[in-house]
Amino acid sequence: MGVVCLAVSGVILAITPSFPSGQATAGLTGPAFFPNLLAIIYILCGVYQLRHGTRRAGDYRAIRPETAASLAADGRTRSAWIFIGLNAGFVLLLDFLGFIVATLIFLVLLMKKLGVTLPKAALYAFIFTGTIYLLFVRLFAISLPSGILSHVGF
Amino acid sequence: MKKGLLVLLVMSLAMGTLFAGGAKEAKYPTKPISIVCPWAAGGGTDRIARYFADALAKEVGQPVNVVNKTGGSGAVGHLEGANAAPDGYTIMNLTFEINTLKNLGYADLTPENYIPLLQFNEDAPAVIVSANSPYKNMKDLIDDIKAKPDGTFKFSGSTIASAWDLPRIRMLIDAGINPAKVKYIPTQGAAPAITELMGGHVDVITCSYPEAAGQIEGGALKALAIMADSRNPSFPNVPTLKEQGINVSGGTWRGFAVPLKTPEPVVQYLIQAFKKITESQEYKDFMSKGGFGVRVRLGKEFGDFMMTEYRALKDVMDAAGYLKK
Amino acid sequence: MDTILSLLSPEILIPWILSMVLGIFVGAMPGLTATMAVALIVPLTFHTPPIVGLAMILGVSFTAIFAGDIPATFLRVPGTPASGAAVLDGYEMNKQGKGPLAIALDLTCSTLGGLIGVLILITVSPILATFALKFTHFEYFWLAVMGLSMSAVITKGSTVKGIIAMVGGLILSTVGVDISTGYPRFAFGHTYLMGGINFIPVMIGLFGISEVIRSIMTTSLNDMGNAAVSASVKADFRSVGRVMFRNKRLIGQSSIIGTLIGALPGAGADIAAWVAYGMAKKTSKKPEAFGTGSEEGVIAPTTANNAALGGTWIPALVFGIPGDTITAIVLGAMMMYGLKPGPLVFQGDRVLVNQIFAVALISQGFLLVLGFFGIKAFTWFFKFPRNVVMAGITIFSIIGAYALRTSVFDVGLVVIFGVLGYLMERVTIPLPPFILGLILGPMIEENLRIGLVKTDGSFWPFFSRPISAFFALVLALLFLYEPVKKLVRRRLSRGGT
Repeated sequence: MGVVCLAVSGVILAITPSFPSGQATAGLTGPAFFPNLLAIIYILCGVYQLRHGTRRAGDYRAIRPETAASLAADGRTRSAWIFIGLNAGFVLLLDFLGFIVATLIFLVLLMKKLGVTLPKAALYAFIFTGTIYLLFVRLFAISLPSGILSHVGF
Repeated sequence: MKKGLLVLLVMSLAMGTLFAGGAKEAKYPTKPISIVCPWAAGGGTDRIARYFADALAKEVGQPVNVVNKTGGSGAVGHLEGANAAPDGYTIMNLTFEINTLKNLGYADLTPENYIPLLQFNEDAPAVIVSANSPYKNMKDLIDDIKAKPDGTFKFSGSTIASAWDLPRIRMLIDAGINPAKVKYIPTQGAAPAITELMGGHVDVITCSYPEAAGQIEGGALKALAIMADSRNPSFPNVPTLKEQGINVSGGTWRGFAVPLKTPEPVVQYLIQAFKKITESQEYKDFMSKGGFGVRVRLGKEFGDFMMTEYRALKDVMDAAGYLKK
Repeated sequence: MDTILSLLSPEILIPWILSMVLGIFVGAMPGLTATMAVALIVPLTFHTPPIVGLAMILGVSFTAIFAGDIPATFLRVPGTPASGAAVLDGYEMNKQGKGPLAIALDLTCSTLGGLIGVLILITVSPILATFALKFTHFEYFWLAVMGLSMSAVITKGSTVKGIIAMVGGLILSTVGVDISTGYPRFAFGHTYLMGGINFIPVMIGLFGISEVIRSIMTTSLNDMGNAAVSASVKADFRSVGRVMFRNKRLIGQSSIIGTLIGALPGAGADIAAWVAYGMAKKTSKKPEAFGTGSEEGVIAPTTANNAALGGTWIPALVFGIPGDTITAIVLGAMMMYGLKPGPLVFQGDRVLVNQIFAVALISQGFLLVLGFFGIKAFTWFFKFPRNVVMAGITIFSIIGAYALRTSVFDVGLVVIFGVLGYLMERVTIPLPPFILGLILGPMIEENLRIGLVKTDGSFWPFFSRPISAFFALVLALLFLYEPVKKLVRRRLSRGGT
C-alpha cells in the first residue's frame, strides 16, 4: 500500500510542473498547488505505511481465513473475475450492441454463472430489461443507446 | 448454451444490416431523432432544447428526445454531436462554447466540424452592479477602474472564457484598460456570481439581464449597460455599451447543426422544419417568457457568423491569456 | 386555512401525488438523483398553473431524497448523493436483521426533518438568507474543511489509512478542468476526463458493486438460489416511536444542521448529511457504536438531508438565489410560469408564497404514507433468489450511472471503482473518507484558491472575518477539546496522587 502511495505521488509530481501558473500573483494559488500538496501528504503516508504496515500485519490477517476458504471452495474467485469481466465487456459493447441486446446478454450470462437455470435466467433477464426500458425510456424519457437495433427503429 | 446466444447475436446483427439497407430507400425521418444537449437537464439550454424537441416531433411526426451529454465545459456534448452518425437522426445543439473549445485545448473542434442548420437565439450580457454603488453609467465605472490600483477591482460572472467572461474582456480592451488590471472571480455560472455581488464580495458582474431581473427589479442590483447593438424592448431603460462610447457588442447564442456528411436533402428538410418552428408566435412567446432573445440565422449565414466569431474570440482569448498554445 | 383548502382540489392533488410517487422511483434508483427527478418534471409543468408545478417539484424532491435511503439501507447502494452517509449504519443494521427498523426510522425521521426544515423556512427565512449572503469563499472553505474533518471522526481503525483514503479522493477530485485557470488537469487530452470524475458513479461502484463482488466471494453457490432476505422485510414501526423519543435531541440537532447548510447557496443536502453524521458521532454518548449499526448513525443523516431541502428554498424565496441544483432549476421554471424569481416573490405575491409553504408542509404527510408503500414495493424485490437480486442490483446500478449523463464513461467508472472498493476493503482502507474527499475536494480547492486570488495571497481574511473565525474556532474545539481534556485530567489525577 505504501508503494502505491509513493507511486501515485510520483506521477502527480511528474505532471504538475507542466501546469500554467494562472492569473495569480502568488505561486501558491496556481493549479499545481493543490495536487502537489496532496502528493506530499501521500509520500508521508507511503513512508509511514512501509515502516509500520509490515509490523502491524494484524490488519491483513483478519481477513485471511475468509480468503483462504473462498479460494479453496467452488471457484468463487473465478466467479468474481468473470463478474468483473462481464461488466467490462458490457461497458465496451454497450454503445455497439445497444442497451437492449447488451443487457439481455449480460444478464443471462451473469445469472447463469451465479447458478440460475437458463430458462429462469432468460425470464428474469427479460423482466429486468423490460422494467428498465419502461422506467428509463418511457417514463423518464432518458434515451439509452440503441446500437445495432437502431436500424429497425428502436 | 452459449452457442445459442452467439446465434442470437449474429442473427440480430444480420437483421440490423438488412433493415439498414431498406431504410436508405425510405423517407426521412422513419425513427426517433435525438438532440444532443451539451448542458445539464434543467438548465437554460436544456429547456429550449426540450421545447424544440416537442415542436419538432409535431412537425416531422416522429418522437424527438433530448440527450444531455455534459462535462468539460461543453466539450463532451459537442464532441458527441460531431462524431455521431451523419444520418440526420442526431442533431447537435451548438452553444457559444464551440468557439472556445479548441483554443482552450479541451477538444479539437471548431464550427467547421458541423453542417450548420440554424441559429435560434442570441443573448447579450449586461453590466450589473449593486444598487447602492456610486456608478450611474459606464463612464463612472470605467473611470473608477482606471483610478483604482491594479488588482483591487473585482469582476465576476461565470466560468473562465465563458460567454459572460469574453465580452467583458472585449469591453475592457475597447475602453483602454488592460484586462489584467482587474481581477476575475470565476464562478460556476451566473447565479453564484449574483450571490457574490449581492453579498458585496465583488464589484461588477456580467451576465444576461433576465438572469438577474428579479434582483434588479427588486431594487438590489442595477444594470449599467447591455452589450447589444440596440436596446432590448423587454427592458428599454438599459442603454447599450455603444451608446456609452464603447464599441463592443456580442454575447452568447444557440443553434442547431448536424454532423458533416449528412445528406443534403436531410439538411434542407431539417432547416425548413426548424425555420417553421422559429416563425411561430408560440416560440416567440416561449422565448420571451424564459428571458431568451430570438435571433435566427439560417444555414450558411449561421456558419459564417460562427467562424467570424471564432476568429474574433481567438484574439480576445489571447489578450486574456486563456489561449492554449 | 384558506390557503390549505385552496390546494385540495383534484387538479392540484393528482399531479402532486403522482409526482411524489415518481420521486420514490427516481430516488430509489441508483444514479438518478433528486435533481434529475425535478429536471424531468419541469417540462411537464409549463402548461399548468404555477402552484401545480411548484407542488410537483416540491413533492418529487422530498420523496426522492427519502427514497435514496431505501437502497442505501438494503443494498449498500446510495440511491441519491444525499444518501451517501445513510449507507454506513443503515446497511450495518440491515446485516444484523434490523433493516426494517432502520428503514422505518429513515422514513419517520425524514418526514420530521423535512417538517422542521420547512418550519424554519417559514419562520426565520429573511434573517437566515441575509446571513447566508455573508458567506463567500473564505467561509465556504472552512465549511468544506469541517466537512472533510468528519472523515477523521467517522474513520475507525488506522488513522493513516483514513488519511490515505481521503487524500485519494481529493487527488481524484483534481482531475478535469481547473475552475480558476481553465486548465484541464490530469486529462491527458481525453475529453471525458476533462469533464472530471463525477462522484455519483464512483459512489455506486465503491459501495454497491464492491458489495456484489464481496457477496460472490463469500456466498457458496448452494446459497445463491435462496431468497436474498429470508425473513419478511417489513417496515418495523412499533419500536420507532421509542427510538425517536430517545433521540429527540439528535433529531433537532440534525434538522438544524441540515437546514442551515441547505440555506447556504454553496452547499446542499449531501454535505448536510455527512456533517450531521459526523456531529452526531461527536456529540454521542456511544460514539463507538457508529459504523456498526447505530440508530443514531441512521437518524442523523436522513433527518439532515430532508431538512436541507427546506433550507435550500430560503435564499431562493428571499433573494431569488438558488440554494442548490434543485432550486436552480425551480427558479428557471418560475420564469416560465411568468413569475419573477427574486425578492419580488416575497414582496408581491403573498398568496403564492403561502401556498408554497402549505404544499411543503402537507408534502411531509404524503411522504409518510407514500414512503410506506414505497418500502413495501421495494422489499418485494427481495423475494427473488439471491443470485437474481445480485444481477438486478448490478444492472440497475450500471444503467442508472449511464443515465446520469448518458455516458458510457461513467459506466466504466462504476466498474473500475467497484473493483477498487472491494480491494480497499480487503486491505481495510475505509471507503467513506474517500467519497468525502472526492465530494469536498473541489469545494476546498476552489474556495481556498479563489479566496487567495481575492486577497492577493494573504491568508488573513480566512481568520479575521467573523464567520471564518467562528468556523476556525469550532474546528479547533472539535479536535483539540478531547486531547486537551485528557491531558488536563491526567495532570489533575497525577497532581491528586
